[in-house]
Amino acid sequence: MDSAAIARLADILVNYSTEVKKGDRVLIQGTELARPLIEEVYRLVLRNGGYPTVRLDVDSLAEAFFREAPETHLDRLDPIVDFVFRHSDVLINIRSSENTRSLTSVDPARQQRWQRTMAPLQSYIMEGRTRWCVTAFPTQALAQDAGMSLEEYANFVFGATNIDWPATVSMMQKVKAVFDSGQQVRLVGTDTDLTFSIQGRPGIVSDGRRNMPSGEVFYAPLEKTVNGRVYYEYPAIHDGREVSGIRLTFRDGRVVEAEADTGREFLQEMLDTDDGARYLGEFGIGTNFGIQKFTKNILFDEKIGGTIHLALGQAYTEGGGTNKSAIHWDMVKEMRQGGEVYLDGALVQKDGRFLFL
Amino acid sequence: MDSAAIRRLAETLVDYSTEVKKGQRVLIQGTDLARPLVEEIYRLALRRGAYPTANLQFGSLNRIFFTEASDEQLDYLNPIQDFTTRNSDVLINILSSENTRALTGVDPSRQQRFQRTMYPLQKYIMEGNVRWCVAPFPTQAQAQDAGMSLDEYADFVFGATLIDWPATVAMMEKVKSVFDAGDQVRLVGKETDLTFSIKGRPGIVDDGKYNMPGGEVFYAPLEKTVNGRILYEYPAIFGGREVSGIRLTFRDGKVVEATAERGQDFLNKMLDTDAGARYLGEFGIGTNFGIQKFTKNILFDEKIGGTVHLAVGRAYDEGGGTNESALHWDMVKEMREGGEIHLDGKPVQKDGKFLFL
Repeated sequence: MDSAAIARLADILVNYSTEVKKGDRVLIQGTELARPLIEEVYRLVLRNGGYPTVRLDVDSLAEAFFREAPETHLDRLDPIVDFVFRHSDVLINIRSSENTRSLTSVDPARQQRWQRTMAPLQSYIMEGRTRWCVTAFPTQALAQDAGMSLEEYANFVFGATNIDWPATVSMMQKVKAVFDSGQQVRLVGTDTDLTFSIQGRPGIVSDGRRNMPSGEVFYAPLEKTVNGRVYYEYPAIHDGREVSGIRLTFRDGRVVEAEADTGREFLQEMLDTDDGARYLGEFGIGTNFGIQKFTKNILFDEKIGGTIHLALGQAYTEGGGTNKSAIHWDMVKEMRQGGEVYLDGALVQKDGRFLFL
Repeated sequence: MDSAAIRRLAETLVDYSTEVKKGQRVLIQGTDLARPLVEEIYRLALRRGAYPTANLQFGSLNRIFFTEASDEQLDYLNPIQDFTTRNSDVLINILSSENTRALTGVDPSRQQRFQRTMYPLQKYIMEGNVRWCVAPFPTQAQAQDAGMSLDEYADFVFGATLIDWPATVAMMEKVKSVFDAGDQVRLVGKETDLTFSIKGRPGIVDDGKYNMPGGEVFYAPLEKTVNGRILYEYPAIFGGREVSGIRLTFRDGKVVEATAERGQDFLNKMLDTDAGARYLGEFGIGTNFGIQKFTKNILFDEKIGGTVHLAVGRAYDEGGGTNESALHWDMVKEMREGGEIHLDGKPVQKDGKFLFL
């Protein structure tokens, strides 16, 4: 793997995403496969005067835990784990699985029980006390899931992460400024003509500090204002299940018609999860032009420069959205081939390119 | 590597050495190379109802740390490490180096400075607050140092660790009771006739509970009683330097003549370390008959069944010895070919075999 690219990603994580300063206690997590990146991050943290701690994740130990642990273990929040997270100013989590299916045969009830135990710690981290960043290091398992060789996948990942972040962020701020001052959004494309309002809802810039790679500006549409139809060129995936050729028709915010080429029943089932599942929780604009290819990994796919995505279900509170649901299902739409985005009647994006930049 | 042997070693460490019980917090440390053993220990600890934490580290991080760390970072006792250790009942440390020379180029004073930082924690462990055990896992680096292939070395390590410990301990207790009741020890062998007293000094049985493999019974000889001469068939190694063909002559405890076929200068220098360096601090009897071969690793060599070893320099407190020195240098003598040990005039071991068993 390209060691210069690894060093560059480490530099982005330490000096851009988490801005490690002298005296910061930095927890670095990943599997042994992420070793080259972990070593570089460790080195840079030391150079910045931070105090690094490395915690290696071992997939097989997680499996052993869920298989072997007595019931009472599942309810015990390990004081060591608790201490480790509460005494870290920065958390850099490197996804680097050696087998993305290693927990497939583990009883989900046991996993959920343990997740409930971990919830207080999870919310401690999410409440912003820790500067956390989640990133990926290319592994065979992740490459395989993306349908690529490791080498292709490494190029894909580094292409997405090692972009000019300051330039990308100022571009995203511009996108936000334009959309923040507008009201009516209209999406036009293949089998698609959809309108909704984002009036008064602030755009959120996903700038790669929390998720690396990042690159999207997203809004919570006004819940009852969505009208028209949309066709998704890319399959939508939920819990490993794929639905392709989705066509949705909205009336006053609600999905009133839903078609799919494959997986139609699953789509219906998901839409019937609860009341909020038929309303939009998110309208996102992909702004990472280092990502060109759909890989069935939503963390990358929703950021493809020149795509947009709409999520059914739960809205993020920061965006002012009010829709509530147990699901949040992102569906990605291609805009690079003939797609148009209008804001208050004026064309702002065509063929995936912003016209105001 | 033989997975049944790895499982048995895990069992020995969990059920024999540290006797892991329900509710105990078990910290397992090693490099990523020790993963197969760590996994088995982790699984067994869970089965015993204990709470295991696996802390795997890359060997390379130490080198990065000592190269990059500022004085401030060298003086920092990481609270995470401190808490983790102080909140563990059992500590199993797996020696599993990927390169035993990785720190060769590091300034020793920086290592010493960090050791001083870690000293309170080290002391906490050694003072008996934690049931600790150190054990090896075969790696290429260690095999290379032993002059073997990994396969051969794995056989060697498992041969030394997977012996019948209860039977070995019973045998060692017998050796101790025989020598504890005696006074004058005489070692006879090739170019060797050495006498000393162990009167009133209790034998210490190394039963593999703290160091795996164990297998020696050792004494602190009465400091001024050593007289005669001895030849060591095996090279003595200190700080990576080898001295071979050592012949020592003692008068009233003191080394009065010292020659070596190779490394004579270094031998003399070491004997001149301080006043105690010319006196014996230890007489040890190797009782691990699973170890047959000298491998230049003193932790194994001093336990070879049918050898004895004498250490010049510091005595261990528990044995009642009074000799003090900055040096403690074990030298191993072959007894299996014509060697004899006499206790108060009676032969108790011949050709490396105990006559009273």
